[in-house]
Amino acid sequence: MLNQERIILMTKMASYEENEGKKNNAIMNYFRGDYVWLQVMKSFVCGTIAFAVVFGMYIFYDFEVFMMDIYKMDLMEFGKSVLMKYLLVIGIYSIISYAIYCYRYAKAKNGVKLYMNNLRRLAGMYDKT
Amino acid sequence: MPLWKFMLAFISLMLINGKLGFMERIDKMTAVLVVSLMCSFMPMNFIIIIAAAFVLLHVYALSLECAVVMLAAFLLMFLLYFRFSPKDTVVVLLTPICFWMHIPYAIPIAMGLLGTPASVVSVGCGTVVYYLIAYVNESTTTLISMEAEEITAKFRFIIDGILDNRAMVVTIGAFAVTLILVYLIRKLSVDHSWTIAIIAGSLVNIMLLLVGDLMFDTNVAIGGVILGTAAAALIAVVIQFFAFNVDYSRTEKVQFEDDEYYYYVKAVPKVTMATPEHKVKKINQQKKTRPSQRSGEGRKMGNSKTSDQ
Repeated sequence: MLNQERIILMTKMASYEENEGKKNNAIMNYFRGDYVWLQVMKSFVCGTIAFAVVFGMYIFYDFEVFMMDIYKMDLMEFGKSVLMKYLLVIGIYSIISYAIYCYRYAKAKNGVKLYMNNLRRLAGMYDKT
Repeated sequence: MPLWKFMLAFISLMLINGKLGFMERIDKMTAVLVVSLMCSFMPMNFIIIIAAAFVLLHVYALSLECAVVMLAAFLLMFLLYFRFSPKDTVVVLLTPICFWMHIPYAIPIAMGLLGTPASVVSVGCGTVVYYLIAYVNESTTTLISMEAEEITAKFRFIIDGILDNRAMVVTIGAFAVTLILVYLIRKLSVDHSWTIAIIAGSLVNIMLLLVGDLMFDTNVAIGGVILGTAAAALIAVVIQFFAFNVDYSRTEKVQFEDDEYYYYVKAVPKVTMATPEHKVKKINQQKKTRPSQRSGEGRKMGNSKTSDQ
């Protein structure tokens, strides 16, 4: 005889395994700290490349004026202002990444916990029959 | 699914070739067919990369400086946003396609119904891509007439054209507000929330674009805005029909087995409804007795029943 309740539960679990489960298991292979900091490091690299692109465009926009002024300007001050802006941009981007990936880790952990609970329920259903 | 990917890739590449078409080698039906066929077997994000590559190649054939600016724009989008939300990259492709098919206002309403507030960024990126390509198209004669040595001048011309584009800024602002409004209204637990969201989103979209035109002189055709928004609302109603009751796009086929059976299950998910409020109503109130009436046996308590409504 088909047990509808068991089929519904197994269908939900199979669906989870096919979709969310793969992503969640990949995330849960890491400890929380390792996962979050790995992703923040990737964000750091991406943010640095993006800043370099924008900085390059900014310099090239007024390239002739920049080349004329380069001998007159205080390079240390210019370097300091660029560094401050870089640190600000990277800082904000890293904080946003940290928050997003912490949330994703917590969501993945919840998903896996729910799946394990369903597995226990399913085992219980088989034990009853 | 491969058929949909093929169709999407084919339509995108044909439209890109139609709008740009500066590089003759890829402006051919055979190239488009072969690449579209390849895209049908690859992940969805591959179509976006191929479309971006086609745009870059066409623009490179026109002007190196244009290609550099376009590449920088794509890099910024992919590095800063799409590493968080790779699923939303298809919106960057669909937005320019909808603009070219004269139904751009369908995008913020559809994404408000189907997506999240974070989709504002992908819709904004798609709008930027459209206006970038449109500007390059309009400026073809100017760019060709500039000397090859005027690299900085060309570069500045393109950047100024993008940054000073008030129509683009107003459109992005209007789309962002429309999307968030549609999302917030359809999330409400009221009857016909999706229909109300579509109507409200359409009206707000028209209003914002017209106000933007008055304030920033963006030269928007009022008739076009109204007709375009009406068409967008109709498309949204169709999306509502398919997505609201039963979401066939998320149909899943799973198979599993136990000791007795093999199961081949097709699951069509319903859209999650808001849970009804549970009100607890006490039917019989507790009887309050005066201290003088209390017997030695103790206070008699009335029965209280609770019921869910």
